[in-house]
Amino acid sequence: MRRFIVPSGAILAAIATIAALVATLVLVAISGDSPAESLAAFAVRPFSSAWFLGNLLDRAGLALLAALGSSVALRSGNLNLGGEAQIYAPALVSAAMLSAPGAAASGLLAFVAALLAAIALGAALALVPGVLKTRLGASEILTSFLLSAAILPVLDYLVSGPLRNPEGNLLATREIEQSFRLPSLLPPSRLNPSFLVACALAVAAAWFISRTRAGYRLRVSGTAPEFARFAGINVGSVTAGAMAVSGALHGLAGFCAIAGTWFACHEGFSAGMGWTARAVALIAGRSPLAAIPAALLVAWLQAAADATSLYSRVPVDVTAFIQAAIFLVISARSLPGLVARSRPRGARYD
Amino acid sequence: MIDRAGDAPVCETRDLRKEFRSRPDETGNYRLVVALDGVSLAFRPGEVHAVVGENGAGKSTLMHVLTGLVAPTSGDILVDGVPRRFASPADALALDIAMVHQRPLLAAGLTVLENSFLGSRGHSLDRPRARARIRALAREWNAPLDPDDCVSELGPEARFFAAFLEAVSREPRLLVLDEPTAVLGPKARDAFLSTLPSLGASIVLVTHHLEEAARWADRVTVIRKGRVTLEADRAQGFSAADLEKAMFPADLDRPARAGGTGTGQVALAVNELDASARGRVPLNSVSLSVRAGSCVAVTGLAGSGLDTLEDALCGMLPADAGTLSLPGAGAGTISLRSASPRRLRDAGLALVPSDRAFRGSHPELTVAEVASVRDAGDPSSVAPILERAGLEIDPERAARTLSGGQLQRLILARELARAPRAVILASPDRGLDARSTAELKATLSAEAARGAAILVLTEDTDWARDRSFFDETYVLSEGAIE
Amino acid sequence: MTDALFAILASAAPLAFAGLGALATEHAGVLAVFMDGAITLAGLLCVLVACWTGQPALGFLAAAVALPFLLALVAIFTERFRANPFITGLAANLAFGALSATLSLAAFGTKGVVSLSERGVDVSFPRNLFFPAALAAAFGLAFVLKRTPFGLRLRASGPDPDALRARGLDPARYRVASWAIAGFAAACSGAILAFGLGAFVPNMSAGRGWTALAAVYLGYRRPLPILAASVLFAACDYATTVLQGVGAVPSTVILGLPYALALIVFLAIPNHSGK
Repeated sequence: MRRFIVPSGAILAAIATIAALVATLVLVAISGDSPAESLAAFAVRPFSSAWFLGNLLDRAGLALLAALGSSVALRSGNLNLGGEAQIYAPALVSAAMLSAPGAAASGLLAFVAALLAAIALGAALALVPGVLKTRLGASEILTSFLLSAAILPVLDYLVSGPLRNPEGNLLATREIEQSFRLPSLLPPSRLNPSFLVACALAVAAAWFISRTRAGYRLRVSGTAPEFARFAGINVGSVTAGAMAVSGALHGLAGFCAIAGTWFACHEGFSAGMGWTARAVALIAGRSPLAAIPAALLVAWLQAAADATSLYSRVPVDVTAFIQAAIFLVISARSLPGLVARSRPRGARYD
Repeated sequence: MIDRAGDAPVCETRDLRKEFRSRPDETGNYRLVVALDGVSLAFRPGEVHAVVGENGAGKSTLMHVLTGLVAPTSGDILVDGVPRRFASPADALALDIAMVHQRPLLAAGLTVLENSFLGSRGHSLDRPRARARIRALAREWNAPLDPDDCVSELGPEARFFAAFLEAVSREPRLLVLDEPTAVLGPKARDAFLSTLPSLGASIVLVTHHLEEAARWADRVTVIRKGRVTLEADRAQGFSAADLEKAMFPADLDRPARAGGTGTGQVALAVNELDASARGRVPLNSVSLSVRAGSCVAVTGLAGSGLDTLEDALCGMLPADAGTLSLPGAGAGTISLRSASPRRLRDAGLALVPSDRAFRGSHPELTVAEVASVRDAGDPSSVAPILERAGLEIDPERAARTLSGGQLQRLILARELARAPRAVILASPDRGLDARSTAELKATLSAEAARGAAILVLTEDTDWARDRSFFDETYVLSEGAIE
Repeated sequence: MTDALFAILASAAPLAFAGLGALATEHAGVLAVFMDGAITLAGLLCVLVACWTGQPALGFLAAAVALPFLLALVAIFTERFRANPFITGLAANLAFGALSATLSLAAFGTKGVVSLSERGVDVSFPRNLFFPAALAAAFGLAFVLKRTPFGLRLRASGPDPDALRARGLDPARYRVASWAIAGFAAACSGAILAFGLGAFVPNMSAGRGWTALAAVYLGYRRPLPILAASVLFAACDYATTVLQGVGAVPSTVILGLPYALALIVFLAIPNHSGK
């Protein structure tokens, strides 16, 4: 039997998405004064102009990058819940470096330096939970989540305090130099080359995982950790490496968000991106290629929800609900590689 | 020993059958594994009835059915002549049928006293009375424990007694003891077994110590492959030798090994291996050696520590002490305290695990992925391995669609692909049908002929004792080589 | 000086309740990652029903029924579908937080502070009963865990479910019960916070759910030491508030401390790995 027959994980993901969609539609319809208008706005608005469409794609690209990070981790059998800090901290560092006085003079060097710093910082933040899991056996689900939650307030403090833009009114850093800003592909929206980079990376990731030796080690360690270890694969290194790559991708997302979309780091920077990236990752599951359509879908949901909030009295926090629902549905079937896969031997939860 | 043959049995089984479905075979059909094949036994009050048999013979299944852990496929259990159905152990307990498991099922975080209350009905507990009762019982049985000891701090002997006393305090009419003497020293054993009849209950003694059964039991039943092959009582007389013959009849088809006389140099040696882990039988100073071109078996019954040995030798369980060496491989001596499967393989060792499904492969990987793991997934390595295994199948199939025999062939082909110096196999014949087993033996013979050192860990004592196949047999008992 | 002491004890009470609830699930082998969101939701429900009926007691009752019910649902889902309790717990945490914000918006038209007194609800609560209530709860839980068959079985359900099965008991039942107990504890915690402040404040739990996990381990997983650990944390919190007033430590950074603390404690006591 060919392996490409739709695996049931995808079916579950599809169910989750449809359920979330239906729930959203219902909430949207009942929250507005005129259900028909709300729904119309929901469906059509995002495509109604270059501005809307371009921004939708831009958002999708950023979410895609972060979701690729989650996918890589997932494929290696790890759940990286520290995405928010892994986006925010590199974004902050990039914004600081690219808006520093004298940065413009260094030109390309400064740009590349900021890019590398962002990637390295993201990788480091994800590497910590990875190493903790390898050395101490501590669940990366919790350690990544807690580490991120502990760091976020510190980042908020830095943005609204020491690194705050003294000239502006916003709680944000100084805007980065004009020369560092990525050009728009679809003015007046903020769509920029980072979207294309994201798509290219998705394809590259899919190729890497399925065709290279390192990719093989990655996916076997995730699906069958005991088998991998027994066969001589160093599962600990794979875990640490995958987490580092995951964090690096999140860091890249943060960098692109600064250099291409917002040009400054504001307080709570990662909040919006965090949820979209997680939702994409959960829907796309372990397949990097599936992340592309998933990112487009989720970006549309987000954009549409924002558009309707202009009409309705009760801007329901739809996004968190959808995310929680997706979480639950996906968790219902112990995703292969997420729960330590060994023979059911008096397992705790059986 | 009083002759109780005339008394009505407390409990009887009639034609008890238990079947399990196994993995699908080559044609996609499920095989039925018959664990119990029409077992009819009677357990009389005041009688010590020993049930003996080797691993996989069906003793444990029989006990589990008797005490309500498992439901039989067909057949009856009669208590005082009335047919009963047990939906859970609680039902059996309600009818005064209790069991002490080989690995006592106690809550480690609670004290002995608290454990005794786990199953009690009602909401308040009479602690002083229960405490006094446990103390009295402990004195009577010479049990080294106190009601307020926390179970996690008790040694295996004390734990056994904790579970035993709990069962006894219910005053059961039928008490099943699964390998009770496994954790007792010789003196304690005799004291324990001689005191058993004083309970007045019907006692079922599951044991593999044939001398014990011969000496202390009023009645004995030998089970082999789910059937009763011998039933005798004291009046008819039975000896340990009779029991052994009933357990291991000499009518098996044994393919003789071709080639390889095992007189080469020692190619694989294990020295002074100590290993322990929570919930496992600890290993004590295990040493063995295998010459190039020879086949050596290590065998043992349940509770012997064979699984601990497998994990320690494969590097999946860090040992407390001991080394493994492959003289002639230039790999030196490898400490098993810090060995990993990778290190052992790099040194030229091939490992075939007992857990084919999750260690030797994985149900969700494809055949190609399973075959190519030694080459990091290189697809070009797949075809030669499949050919060697004689498997003409689509490599993109999921590994779980393979039958046990096919999977074993695949794993063997993969492990033997690089002509390793030494091969360690754990229970390679488990769950295989006759044809696959014959193929397995042929493959191993060929490897030995090539000059490899073959070490087989198996619970099949028949095969282990087969001198036409194995040059040497070590017997592992309670963690040490006998 | 005694004022400070009373303030510390009163503020320790919500944390203590949360810790006791987390202890219940800890025995069942589940880390109570849902506690934080549960506390906030409980606080909101208290305020909501109190405003609606004018009776604070009914508010507490509503929370005390709703939270155990909701958490039991999640627990049953987890058992039935063999889901990873970390994930379902986190999902619940997320959902509870979102639900609080949504209900607040729907009922009061604001995501911000909802003051009870402004809505005509009697705000004079005997604040000095908060800590004694927590103390009583600690004693109560200790009694149940040590001296009742239910408590004993709960303690076995996490580490030794086979011991329960061998006696014909179903460990899953006790696990679900532990989530419900945690829900009730979250309700008590949320109610104390809401009534103590006289209002519902967004994200009211302020990380207490996570500090509670740290308190469980610091308290050697026993009810009375957990209470003591809660007092210790409350004292530290009091000290930092004082320091804040002096301008020594930025307030936003403080927000991250509960998580950092829970992380450190989680690492120091590696009980739950990979599952």
